[in-house]
Amino acid sequence: MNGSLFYLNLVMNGLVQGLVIGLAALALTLVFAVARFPNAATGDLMTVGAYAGIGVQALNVRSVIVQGAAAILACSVLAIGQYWFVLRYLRGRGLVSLLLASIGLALATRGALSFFVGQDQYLFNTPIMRPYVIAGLRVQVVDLWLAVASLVCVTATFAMLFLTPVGRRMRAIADNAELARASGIRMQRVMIPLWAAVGAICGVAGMILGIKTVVLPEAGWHILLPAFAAMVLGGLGNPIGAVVAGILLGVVQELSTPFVGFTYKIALSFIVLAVILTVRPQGLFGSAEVVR
Amino acid sequence: MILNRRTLLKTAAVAGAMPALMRTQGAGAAEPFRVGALNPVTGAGSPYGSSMQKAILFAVKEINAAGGAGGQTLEVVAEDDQTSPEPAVLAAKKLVEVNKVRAVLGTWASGVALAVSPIFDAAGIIHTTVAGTSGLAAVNKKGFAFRFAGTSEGIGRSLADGALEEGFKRASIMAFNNASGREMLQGAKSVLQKAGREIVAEVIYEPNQPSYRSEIQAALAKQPEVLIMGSFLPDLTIILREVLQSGADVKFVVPAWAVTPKSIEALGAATDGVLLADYESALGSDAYASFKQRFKTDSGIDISGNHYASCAYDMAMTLALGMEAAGAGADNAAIVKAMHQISGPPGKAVSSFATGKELIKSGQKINYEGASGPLDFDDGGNAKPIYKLMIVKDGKINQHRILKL
Amino acid sequence: MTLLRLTNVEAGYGDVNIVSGIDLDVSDDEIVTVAGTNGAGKSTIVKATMGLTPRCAGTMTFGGVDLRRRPAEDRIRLGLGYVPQIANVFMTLTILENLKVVECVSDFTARCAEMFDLFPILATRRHAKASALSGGERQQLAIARALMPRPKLIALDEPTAALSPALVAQVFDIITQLPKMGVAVLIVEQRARQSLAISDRGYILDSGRIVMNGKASDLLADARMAELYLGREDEPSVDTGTP
Ligand SMILES: Nc1ncnc2c1ncn2[C@@H]1O[C@H](COP(=O)(O)OP(=O)(O)OP(=O)(O)O)[C@@H](O)[C@H]1O
Ligand SMILES: [Mg+2]
Repeated sequence: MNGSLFYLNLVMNGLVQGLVIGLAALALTLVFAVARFPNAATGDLMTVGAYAGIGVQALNVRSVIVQGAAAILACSVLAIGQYWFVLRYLRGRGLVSLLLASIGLALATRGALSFFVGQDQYLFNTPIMRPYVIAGLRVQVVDLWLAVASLVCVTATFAMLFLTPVGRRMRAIADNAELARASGIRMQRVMIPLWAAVGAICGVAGMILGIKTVVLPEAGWHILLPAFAAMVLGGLGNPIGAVVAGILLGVVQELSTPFVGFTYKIALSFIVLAVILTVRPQGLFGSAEVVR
Repeated sequence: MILNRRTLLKTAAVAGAMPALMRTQGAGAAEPFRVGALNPVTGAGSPYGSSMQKAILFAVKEINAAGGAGGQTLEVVAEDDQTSPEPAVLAAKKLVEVNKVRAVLGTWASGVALAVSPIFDAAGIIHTTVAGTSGLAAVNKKGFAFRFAGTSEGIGRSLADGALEEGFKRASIMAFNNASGREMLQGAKSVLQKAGREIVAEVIYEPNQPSYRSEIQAALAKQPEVLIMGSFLPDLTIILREVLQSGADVKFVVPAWAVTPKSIEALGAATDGVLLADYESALGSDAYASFKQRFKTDSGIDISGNHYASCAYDMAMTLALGMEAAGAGADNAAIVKAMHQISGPPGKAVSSFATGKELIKSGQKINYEGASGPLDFDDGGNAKPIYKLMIVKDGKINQHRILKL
Repeated sequence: MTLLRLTNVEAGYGDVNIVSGIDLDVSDDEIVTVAGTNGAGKSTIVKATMGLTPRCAGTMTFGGVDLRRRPAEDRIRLGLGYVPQIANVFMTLTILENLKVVECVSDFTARCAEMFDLFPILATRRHAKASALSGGERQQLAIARALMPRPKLIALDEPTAALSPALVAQVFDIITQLPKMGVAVLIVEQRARQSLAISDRGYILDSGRIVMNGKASDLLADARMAELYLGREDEPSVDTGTP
């Protein structure tokens, strides 16, 4: 493999990783923009999505679309439940109480998963297909589909945010919660659709993660830290920033491997994060740009 | 899982009550010799742990039925270490301080073994484990610890030896970035270097990545014939799938623990030809055949896929034969010394406690050849395991060859 | 007829009351000014009226309805409009979105057209982000946004802060038209003289308490009050409001 091709393939690998991180970051940043706290339960929500997909597969339903729909449904129901039964009561108590509550929800979700489904790994039975090789660049068929799925997911999220009344209300709350109240916007009528959307994104992200890797109770939790980094990097509460920063993080990470090796690539991405934030505390894309 | 544990503890209580009964009958019999069974009944080690615990209880029943060892019956206190250091330490302290056990059998995870070893070492308690970490040597100050399975380094050597015996010339090594993974890499490397074979690439990778494509790309860049994998189940599953998907023409040698029938089924036909290195329970040995058959009848458990159950059985056997050889009232130092003697050459090969006890009584030297292998502990208390190679064919794992290692 | 009535109201943010013993009312056809020095608690009174202070006690009625049980997001439904002192538009939304996002607007298109008539500058830039507007334009958008649901009363918190004299005049001009459109006005102002000049009545606030109230013309004529709170007549009051 010649030099530039080697790096191009690394970029390709990074893109694929970045998509998963980007989706998780999108779910994180939406909550941060509207409900004002970093939702530590995001990763475990994804895990639930993956298990929902596995559950459908266990019923001998082979269609990934149906599995994905189940994942979206399960995650949305769970996310709304977490809001309705826990987070709702902590509104106005500040970021720390909400963060702690979400950590509690994360642990409870993971605990329940390992109790009921155990520590055995589950796998999606995706057929093994050979990659397309385009001028030396290897493109996995599965990755193509997963990329399409995440693009659809991101597009749908932005359509909701920018084309629907409820999206407009979400952006208004993110922009200025007090003025939103004075404009008659009722929190709950926005929060339920918000958590449904967050659940749906987590469902898709969880399915993608599950299809690419293996399904274990800790699977989603491990994505949380990079996703968090992407959210900060993209500008807190900025959905476009989160997705772009996630992809960027993935690519930088992979491109660094010939120089720093595989064990330090994760550390490196956090050094990049630290450096960028010292130079641009508002993140790469600023937090005031899109939602806030 | 919880039910499972409760039933086990109940069994333990019964096993404990039995010697008490015998004590009331046999006037003047000594106090029972208390033994802790500290096993991973829940947590990541749960596929092995409950069978290990049952194997210990089964062995103790056999020993007591033969009249006990060194003039004492054995009494088991069963605990679950939950495959996790914190609960393991709590249980270990209880065993030492409350139950006053003289020996603890059957820790499994490296992290657990490393956490509880200093407690047992300080208290002068005999500790037998199957944990593979080389770090154990550092905490085994009194030399009262025994390792009944191979080290991670040993598995690493077996992986490389497997690759050599299969005739591969150019190998890349990939290993999981933890103590065990790095030790496997070192083991594999030492064998390849000794044989003068080229190591095309060495890649240590981080756990929990959404994809390992760049790592694979680096390992395959210079076209090795074989990938030697110091891996565990989740990461190997992902890597296997990604390599198979990439269409690269490369063979795999992997530790048997990193593959399950389910993972093979999910990955499909492309896994054909993957080579697995594993410990060989002394397949041909009398001890193995007899233990396997009797344990099946007694507990309904088939130990075919569980080498650690054989190890656990041998732990109790070795301890009891050591007690017998050391004689009544011997302290732990004497028992440990005797355990070394009765398990290795020179001596007459025996495969059951009753025969061993008879021979010792008649003043002969014995060499216990266990269900898990010939044992033959080195000075550090490490058993000498037998390694074998298996191969995936038509979605099934088949025996392939015993390694010369 | 009295529209808004505050009786013995106290309000604050933490443990202490910022304002207390507030008696204030606004009829359905008048303009009422609340004046006072910086930090006197003017904004706090308005926020309490809108249900936006963490602490609030006393009696508050609007059109005879008890306000206390109504959360902030419901007061708009009773006919209360509010233009905050700062951050009074959604900066990241476009002008049109700022108007669209307001709840309980009947016949949006017609109302929107009326607003664009009243504030022509908004019509020409309807797809611009609010953050791209100038200070004066932003103030117009803020008022337009508050007027969207046809409120019976609009509370304006320093609507002319940080505006040039020409724009100040323009904003006051708009405010004077409001009662004719059936909107009562409660206005908080630093430029007390100008504000009282267009008002029917006024309240003077000092350290959280009302120290004077009465007809605007009387307050303007009161020498003591002029000295203390309104600045000398020949010198236009300095603009100290936050932008
Ligand atoms: N959100 C808040 N939390 C705590 N204290 C506050 C808050 N807002 C205002 N205060 C305090 O309440 C007091 C009165 O503030 P308020 O904004 O009502 O004054 P004001 O009369 O409107 O002043 P200005 O003319 O400067 O706008 C001030 O001392 C201020 O520090
Ligand atoms: Mg004010």
